[in-house]
Amino acid sequence: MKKILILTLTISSFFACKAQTIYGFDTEPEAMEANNIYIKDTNNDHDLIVGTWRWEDSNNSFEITLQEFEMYNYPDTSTRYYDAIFGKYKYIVDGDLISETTTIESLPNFSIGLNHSTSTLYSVVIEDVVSGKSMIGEFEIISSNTGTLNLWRSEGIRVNSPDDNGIDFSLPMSVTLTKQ
Amino acid sequence: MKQKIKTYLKYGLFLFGIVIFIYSCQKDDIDNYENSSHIKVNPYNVSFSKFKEHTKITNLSSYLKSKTSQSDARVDVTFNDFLIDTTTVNHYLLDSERSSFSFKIILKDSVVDGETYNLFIRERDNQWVSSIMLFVEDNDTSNNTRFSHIEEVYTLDGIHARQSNHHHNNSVARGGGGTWSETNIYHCTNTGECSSGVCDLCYRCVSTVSISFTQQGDFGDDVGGSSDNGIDGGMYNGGGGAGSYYDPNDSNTNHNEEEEDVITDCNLLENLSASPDFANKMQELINNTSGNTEITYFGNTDENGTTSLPIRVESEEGVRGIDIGVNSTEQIDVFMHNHFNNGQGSLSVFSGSDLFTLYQLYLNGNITDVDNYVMLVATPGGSGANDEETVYAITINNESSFSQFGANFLHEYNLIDLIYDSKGNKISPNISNSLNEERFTKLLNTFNSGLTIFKGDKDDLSNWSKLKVTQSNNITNKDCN
Repeated sequence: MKKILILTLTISSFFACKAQTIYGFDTEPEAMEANNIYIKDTNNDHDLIVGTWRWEDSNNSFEITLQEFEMYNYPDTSTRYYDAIFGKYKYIVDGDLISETTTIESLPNFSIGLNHSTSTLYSVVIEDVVSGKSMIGEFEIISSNTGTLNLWRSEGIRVNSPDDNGIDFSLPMSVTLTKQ
Repeated sequence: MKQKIKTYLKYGLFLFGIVIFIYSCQKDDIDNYENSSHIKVNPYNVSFSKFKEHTKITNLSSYLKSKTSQSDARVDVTFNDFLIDTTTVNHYLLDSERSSFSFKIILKDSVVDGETYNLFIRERDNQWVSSIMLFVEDNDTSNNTRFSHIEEVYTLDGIHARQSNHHHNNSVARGGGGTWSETNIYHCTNTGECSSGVCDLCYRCVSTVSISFTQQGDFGDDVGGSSDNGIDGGMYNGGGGAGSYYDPNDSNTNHNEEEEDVITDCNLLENLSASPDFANKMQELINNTSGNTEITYFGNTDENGTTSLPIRVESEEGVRGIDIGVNSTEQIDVFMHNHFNNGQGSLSVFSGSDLFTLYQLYLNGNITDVDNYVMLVATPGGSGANDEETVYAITINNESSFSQFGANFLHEYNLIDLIYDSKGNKISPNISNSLNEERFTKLLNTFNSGLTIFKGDKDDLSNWSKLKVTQSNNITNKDCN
C-alpha cells in the first residue's frame, strides 16, 4: 500500500504542473496557447542572420550587428517567451559619423529589431537615433553572405511623435549588405 | 540490509518526485490581484466579477438590503436612493489580509457639481462592512489636494452617522468618525526614459494617478468583536461607465458586468452612426481606402449625442502615415482615419501607430471622457481573395489596464510595430481580413490592453458587433443590435 501511494504521488507530480509549451517558428499564432509558451528557433534559422552585416562604398558605410536573445520575454512578467533578434548599427557618410547605436538593446529601448518570417526573410523595425524616427522593412538573405535591407514608413496616424520634428530619417532606406 | 536499501529507495523515489515537481513546474503568473507586494502601493482597478469572486457577495442588491439600517431620524436617505456604477471597481489592500472595494454611486434624485459619492466595502473583523463616502472637490487651486473634505456620510452596518454642522440641501446626514486623509499615488512606468527608476511625475513616467482615502483608528467598538487598531480606507472611485449604473432596488436586473460594457459601447456606436457628420465622413474614408492618401477626422459629441468632426488632416499623396500635432487643450471624443494600399500592402486592422496615437491622446489629456471615446479606422482590406474594405472601432473599457498597456508598449510606435509582427502575433498587411481580425483581437486580449474592438459593416454603419476572445481562445462576435 505504501509503495502504491509513493508511486502514485510521484507519477501524479509529473501531471500536476502547468508546463510551458514550446512551438517552432513554423507554428501559426492560431495554434498557440495564449500564455506559458516559448516560440523557439528549433531549426536554428537565426544562425544565418546573426552577426555583422556591412555595406560599404568609398567613404560611406552602413553596418548592422545582430544578436540573438534566447528565450526572451517582454515585459518581464510575460509568460510568452521567444527567441528574439536585436541589434545595433553605425552609419558613416563621407567619413563622417551620421548615426550610431553602440550597444545592443532589447525592448523597450531597442534600435533595431527583427522578426523571423522565413529562414531567409525577416521583418525589420529600426529607429534612427538622430531623428527619433522609425521605419519598418525587410531584411532578405540572398546568399550565405549577402542580404538586402529595404525600409519604408509604417502606416497609420501618429500624434505628437518625433516624425513631426522636421528632422529627416538619416539611415539608408535600401542597401545590399555583406556578412562579415 | 536489504530492508534498509528498500526503505532508502522508497524515500529516494518520493524525494525524486518532489524534485521533479519543483523543477518541471513553470512559475505561474502571480495573480497581481493577490500580490501582497502591492499593499497600499498599487491600487487595482478590477472587474465586478473579481469583486464578487473575492468578497463572495454575488448579489450586491441582496447584500445591501440585508444590512441593518439605523433607525435614526437624522438619516433622510438610505442606500437605496443611489445608483451604483459597476463598470469600474477599485480594489485597495489595507494590509496583507484585508481588502477594500469602492464603487462610484449617484443619488437618483439630484447630483451636485463637485460632489461624488462612493460605496465603500471593506473587511473588518472578518466580515464585509459598507459605508457611503462623500468626496467634495476642492476649488482652491493653490492646494495640492483634490478634495476639500471626505466624509463617511452613511453606513448600513450599525455605525451611527453623527450629524455635522454642514447640511446639504438634499439632507444627507453628515458625520462619520474621525478625519479621512487623501493621498495621491503615482504609478511610475519605470520604462523608456524613466527606466532609471526616477519617477519625475511627467506624463512619460507616470501612467496613472490615483487617490486613496485612509483613516487610522480603533474600529473595534463599531462593529463588535475585538478591537483592531489599524487603517481603514479605500481608493477613490470617480466612476467608469456612463449609462451603466444599476439600481440596487432592482434585484431582477442582470448585473452582468460584461453585458453592461457591451451595452454602453454599443450605445456609443449607435449614437455615432446616427450623426450625419459621422456617416458622411466615414463614407468618405471608406471610399478613400482605394485612393492614395490617409485622411483623419476628429471632433466631439455634444450633450444630445450628436457628433461633429470639423478637423480634417490629409497626408501627401502616396505617403503612408500622417503626423499630426494636437494641442494639449484639444478635447476629442471621436477620432477616425483610413489606410490605403500603396503597393506595400495595408493593414486591415488598426496599426501600431494608431494605438500609439490613442495612448498619446490619452496621456496628453486630449480625450474628453475615456468612457465615451471612440477611435475608428477604415481600411482597403487584406490579401484574402474576397477581402473587402474593413471598418473597426475601439473603445477603452478599462482605463487602468489601458494605461499599463500603453506604458509597456505604446510610448514609442516602433515598439508596438515590432510586437505586431512577432511570431506570436503576426499581424501583417500580407494576410487576410479574418486572420488579421483574429490576431489583433487576441493581441488586445493577451496583453490585457483594456481596449474593446468592434467590427463595423462598411455598407451599414449602424451595424456593429463586439469581437471577443473566449476561454478556449476562439473569437466570438456579439451583435450590438
